[in-house]
Amino acid sequence: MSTASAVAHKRGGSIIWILIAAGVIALFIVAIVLTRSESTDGAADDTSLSETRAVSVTGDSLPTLPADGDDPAVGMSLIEITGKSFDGTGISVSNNGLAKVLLVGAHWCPHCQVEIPIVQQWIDQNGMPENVELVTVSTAVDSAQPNYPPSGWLETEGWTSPVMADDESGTASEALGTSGFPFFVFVNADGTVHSRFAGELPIEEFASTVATLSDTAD
Amino acid sequence: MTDTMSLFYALLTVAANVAVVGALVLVTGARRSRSLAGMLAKVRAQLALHGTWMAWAVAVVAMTGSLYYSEVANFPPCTLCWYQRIAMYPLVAILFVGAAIRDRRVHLYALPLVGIGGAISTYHYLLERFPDMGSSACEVSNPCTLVWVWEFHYISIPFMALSAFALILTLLLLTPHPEFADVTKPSDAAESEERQGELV
Repeated sequence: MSTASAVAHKRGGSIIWILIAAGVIALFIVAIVLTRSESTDGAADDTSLSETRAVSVTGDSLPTLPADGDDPAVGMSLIEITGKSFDGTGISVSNNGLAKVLLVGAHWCPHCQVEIPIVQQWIDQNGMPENVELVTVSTAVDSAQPNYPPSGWLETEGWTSPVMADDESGTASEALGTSGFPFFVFVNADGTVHSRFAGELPIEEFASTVATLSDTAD
Repeated sequence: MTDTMSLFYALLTVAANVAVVGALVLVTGARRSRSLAGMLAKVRAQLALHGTWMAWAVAVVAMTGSLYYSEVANFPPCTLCWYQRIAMYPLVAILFVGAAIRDRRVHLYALPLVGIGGAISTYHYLLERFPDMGSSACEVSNPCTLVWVWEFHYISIPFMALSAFALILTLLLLTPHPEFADVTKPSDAAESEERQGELV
């Protein structure tokens, strides 16, 4: 390679790096401009709602659901949990003579995002039996995580069952022995745990367990 | 700030995707078109000088991006994120040394990491899109199915990593490697020592 062509080659190489740097800077400027215009378009948040609320638990917590084998919580008495919904309405889970389904979910969990509309569709079509109550516990709330806020998500899904907003440390979730989301706790009318399940529960299984709880409650 | 940085990284990801697709078109088209073959030759001539440095720059951007998300945006890395980091971070050192001493074997050291990292990124991305592939439940803390960033209807953090691995792969494969320096040959050994002397 002659000296002249070597110099031209080197200059060409410098131009490549200058173009790459200019392109990266241009993309950064585009990102700043686009996100600024988005942030000024945002609607004001509803300050009357709180995504987490204080929760109090009375009684011994249920052990964490093991991945395999028998559930040691079956037959144990359910703890009493007192808390509030997103809008501050009081909600308590206690032995009131009704069978219960407790659904613990997290707004960011994709499995919860799948399960919630399926359960709601089943409720819309069949309705919950009068002697079985469904209470949802919204937990693991984090504004930095996707699908926030949970109140907005559940409203969008048309969720009709009462929702207890767990506190920031997940007291209610931990007291129920949650091992994964979504987490179901089925409770007999006498206040003992019928069964628990972690993950997406097939709707047929949900329906049959609800029917069993309803039948035994009479 | 996190929104801005996510959009910035997403735009870089789109640029990386365009570069990889462009390279594929160039390589496949060069067999049929003389003009494309000429263009490919020019690109490879530039990559002979800068290809390893460019691959290193991509690895640096990927590493700083992952550190931004974990240390500044406070997105905790999940297990699969850590595996991708294990593949990406050494590339920064390997490609830097390879580019600095003009090691013609550098792609041999880098490509296994690129392949492993790319495979994990692909699995992680699929797991995000189809959470049932893994398990039917989210772990209570920091599951790999959690989608922290979603831009342009297809870009998540694992996809950004996959795009970086794909671009590094493309750059290393397109960079000409005329022949490997054989340090057992006196001429190559002398050349190697000369290069090391230049570096010092």
